[in-house]
Amino acid sequence: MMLLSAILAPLLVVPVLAIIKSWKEEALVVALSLLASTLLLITSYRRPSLEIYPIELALGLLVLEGNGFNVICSLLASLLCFATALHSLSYMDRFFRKNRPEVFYTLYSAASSTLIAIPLSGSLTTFFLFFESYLIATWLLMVIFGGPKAGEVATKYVVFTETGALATMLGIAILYDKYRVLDFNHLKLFLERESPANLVTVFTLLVAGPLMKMAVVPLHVWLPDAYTEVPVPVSALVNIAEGVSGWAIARAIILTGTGVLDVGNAGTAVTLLSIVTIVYGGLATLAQKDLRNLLAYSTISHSGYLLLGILSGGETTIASVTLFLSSFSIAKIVLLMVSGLLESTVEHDSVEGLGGLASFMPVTSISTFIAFLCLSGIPPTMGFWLEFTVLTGIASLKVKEGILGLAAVAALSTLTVLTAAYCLWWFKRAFFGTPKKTVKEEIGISTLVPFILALLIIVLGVFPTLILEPVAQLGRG
Amino acid sequence: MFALLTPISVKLNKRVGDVLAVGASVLTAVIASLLAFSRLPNELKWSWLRLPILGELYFSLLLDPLSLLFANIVAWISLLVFVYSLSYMKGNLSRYWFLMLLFLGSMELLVLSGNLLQMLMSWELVGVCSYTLISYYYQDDVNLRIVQWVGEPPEEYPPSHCGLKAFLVTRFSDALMLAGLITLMNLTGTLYFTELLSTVPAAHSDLLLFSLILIYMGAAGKSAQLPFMEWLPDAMAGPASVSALIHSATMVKAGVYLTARLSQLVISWSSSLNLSLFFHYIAWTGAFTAFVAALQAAVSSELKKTLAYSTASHIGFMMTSLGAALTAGERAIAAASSYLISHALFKSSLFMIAGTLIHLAGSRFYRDMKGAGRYLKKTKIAFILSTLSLMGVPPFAGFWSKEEVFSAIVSDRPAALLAVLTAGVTAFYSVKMVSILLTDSGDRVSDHIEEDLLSSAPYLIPSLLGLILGLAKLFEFASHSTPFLTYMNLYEVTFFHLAATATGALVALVVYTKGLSKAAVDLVNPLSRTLRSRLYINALYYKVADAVSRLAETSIIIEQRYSSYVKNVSRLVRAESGEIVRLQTGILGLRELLWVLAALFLLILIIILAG
Repeated sequence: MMLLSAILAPLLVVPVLAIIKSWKEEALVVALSLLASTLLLITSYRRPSLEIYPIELALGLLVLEGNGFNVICSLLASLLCFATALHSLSYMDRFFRKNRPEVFYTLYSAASSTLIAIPLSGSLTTFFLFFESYLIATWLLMVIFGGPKAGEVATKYVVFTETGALATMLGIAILYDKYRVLDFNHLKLFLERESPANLVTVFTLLVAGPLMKMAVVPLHVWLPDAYTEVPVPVSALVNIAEGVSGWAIARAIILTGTGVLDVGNAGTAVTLLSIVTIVYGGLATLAQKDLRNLLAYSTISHSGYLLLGILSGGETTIASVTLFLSSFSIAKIVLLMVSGLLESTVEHDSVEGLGGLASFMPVTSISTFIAFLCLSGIPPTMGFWLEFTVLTGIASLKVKEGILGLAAVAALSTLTVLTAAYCLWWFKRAFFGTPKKTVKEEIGISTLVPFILALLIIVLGVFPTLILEPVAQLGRG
Repeated sequence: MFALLTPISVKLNKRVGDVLAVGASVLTAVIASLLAFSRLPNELKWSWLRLPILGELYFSLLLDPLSLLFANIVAWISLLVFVYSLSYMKGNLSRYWFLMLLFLGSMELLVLSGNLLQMLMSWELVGVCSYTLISYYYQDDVNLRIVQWVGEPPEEYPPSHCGLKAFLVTRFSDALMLAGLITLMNLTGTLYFTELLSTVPAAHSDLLLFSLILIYMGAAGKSAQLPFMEWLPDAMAGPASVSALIHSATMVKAGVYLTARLSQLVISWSSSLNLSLFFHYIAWTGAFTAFVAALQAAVSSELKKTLAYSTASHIGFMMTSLGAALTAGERAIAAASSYLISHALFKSSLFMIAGTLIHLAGSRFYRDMKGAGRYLKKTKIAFILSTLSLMGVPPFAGFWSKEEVFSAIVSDRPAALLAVLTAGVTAFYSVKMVSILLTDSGDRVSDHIEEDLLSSAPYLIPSLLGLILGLAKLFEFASHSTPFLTYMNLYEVTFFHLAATATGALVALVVYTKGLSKAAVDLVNPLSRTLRSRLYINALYYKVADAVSRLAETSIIIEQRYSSYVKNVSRLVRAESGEIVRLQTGILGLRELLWVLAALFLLILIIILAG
């Protein structure tokens, strides 16, 4: 019941929103409900559980599975949704002049609930239900609360992500047709007997939806607008979904038992796709001037790293996802919040009109700096562990190929310099140098929420055991 | 802990912050000294985390002669620099103390780490401290460019630019190091120094060799060796105290520490594997860097920049020595360590003096410092003593340690020859520094700086120590039964070394006291111009950055075209889906739809609870 309660907590407050008059109270109620979800997940963190509910979904029951890997991903998604809801108190004001706040917070709660639920899915049907619900909720958020290009942005989003979702559905249908079961644990037993070729086909179909959501090149084109044309909390949801999609791909790997990078041509193709994503996304990021655009393209670039890590197989698959959610996802949300703050204080987040902000915004500059360090994979932030884990995973597969394998690992490693370059170049231009505008930093929710999240990146970086617990569980057998 | 406490206390009271920071460095120095009484080697391990592939990882500290030496150098030089900072640094120091203490803690962790991964973490952390401290004057105040910036147009850079440059160059080398380290882990199955020493990797000697070279690249980056050398001179945009601690005595020596560790490993593996190329590579990059950096030091127009090039050059000496470890064994490592001690003493002293001179002259350029020695008696003495040690003049510590290095590398004739030439150039720029300080023709220098004990002791102590250690060594040799030159077994090298030093000093004396004839100027000018252009190595960095930038612009053009294509498709889809558009315009009654959705969720909940 604990897992279901964590999923339903944000939905239960939806009727309350209709009664509340002030939008700030609505935001607070939603934030509190997400905090409750987070706490519920913390209590069920170390207790493996399986919750089966007699709701006849189209192809099976509602199954929730609470193992270490699932719960930690759900917990991180919940925590980030909570922080974003709290931060929206300082940011959303301007969006409620035309639209009603209860609509926003209802949809936000629904989207958050699905993000918490996806990693707890114990069957393909359950996963697909939540996955589609998330798409609908975020699509509506984009349509209603997006900027002047809302229609176009939302259509691009829905066309791309639904195409992926359809392929996933096809994969599920094929599996159901053949085995008549869709819960992960039973399905795994059947799939163990399948031929590698069939497994790769099933795997490819299942991960199509999450891959779209991760915005791997060339399927990324919907993402930049989804970051820049919508309010910060919606961008944050899209950002969290990237990590959650990583969970889905990892789950598909565990299910099908494929170490994808290790399977000949398919492995080479995926490796190349990932490297193209990293390089193309990284180069495009380097040319960005607005912080939100920078974050959008860096998300594309980072999805390449995440994909490589997940597809390495074994413990690396699991660790890549948990580390991604606890590092890059947090860091990007910090930076999205900073972008929102800059929009409020200096009316834009483009470096061309910024400079010397460190003198006026010390707390924000620290949060921004830590987040950028995290994205650059610098210790003691959590980003370091992600970078190290992904590279170790790749090296374990490539080094046996000899000098060429070593060269590939070295090339991949040096690509992280590209991230450091665009992050710190933007930071230098915005926060260092001669001040172009005098601003005043107010210490409140707008500065403290990102600051606390930034500190969390460091605390987790120094004590990553909590996040790596699922790996330890696997190690203990 | 102190790094966190100090900024908070500075907010309350500046004096408390100062006391806390210096107190922390005193405590570190005392603890580092007490470590000398521990049993060596000593390894401590605590359970930390479990990583994929690597498995259980322990937080481990390794205390052996090498780490003990480095821990003490870091601690004691830090103490001197912290005391110096009390008089040198002005204004609110909360950020300064935080970063300096964070650096101190990270640097101690680096040299005491028992495994390569932990060392890498602290390695990157000291890099972050270096970046933030180089960018300390991040406002890039144009009015203060004569003091706070570095270089001359067209290669003049503000502090924030220099910080970023230092970070990215070293980050690139660190990324190579990470790749090498992970490969080494794959081949040996461990990252602990003690286990690596007792493990002989099976086969894959090519892979092992390249992974070691990649790790060394990290060391070369941090220690400003070719081809990563050019970040260090620009790092001089940071406060002089930062240059004294991080960019001369400690962080830049981390590369030497790592190379010494690797050398120990490779020596232990060399009986079964042929890894001699590793040593050749180190020796040659070291020797070349020593020579090239010394030449650039000779033409620099800024005191701190000369010292920075000089640091790269002297570290090149240490690397050359380590490169001889295959033939000279532990003696080569001992020579590099000895050189490192004497260098830490004279260079930290010189950097602190440079800070005082820049304050006095209100400029970082030599041309504005002429005659500064007239006002600063104690500073002048310390400057001369440290410079003599830097030149390698007997009986200073610099001489003895240089001799030890020559003794180690003598079998590698070309490297030794290059080192001798470097000694000559070193003497040249050393005399240039001193002669400018003593030339009594300055008009910019004012006499507004007082030489109190607090400000001058931090550089007087190491400069006197350089002399005392040198004299102690002399007495040791005097009391030795074997005649000195026979004992050193390097009669020819000593002669050449001293001859080169004397020649370099004499040439500098002529140039900077009498001036050059027109013919000589015409002869030297092309070389001087090339050297002033930093041998175009710096320009090459910017060419690479430009190329990446152009690629970034190209990717944006591709992205715009792709995006525009998708946009057209998207318009087509929207035109076909009128129902969706109507929802957006409010015809459907969105609010009602949401209530239906919420009601559905509640219904599901009720069913579940009832079930």
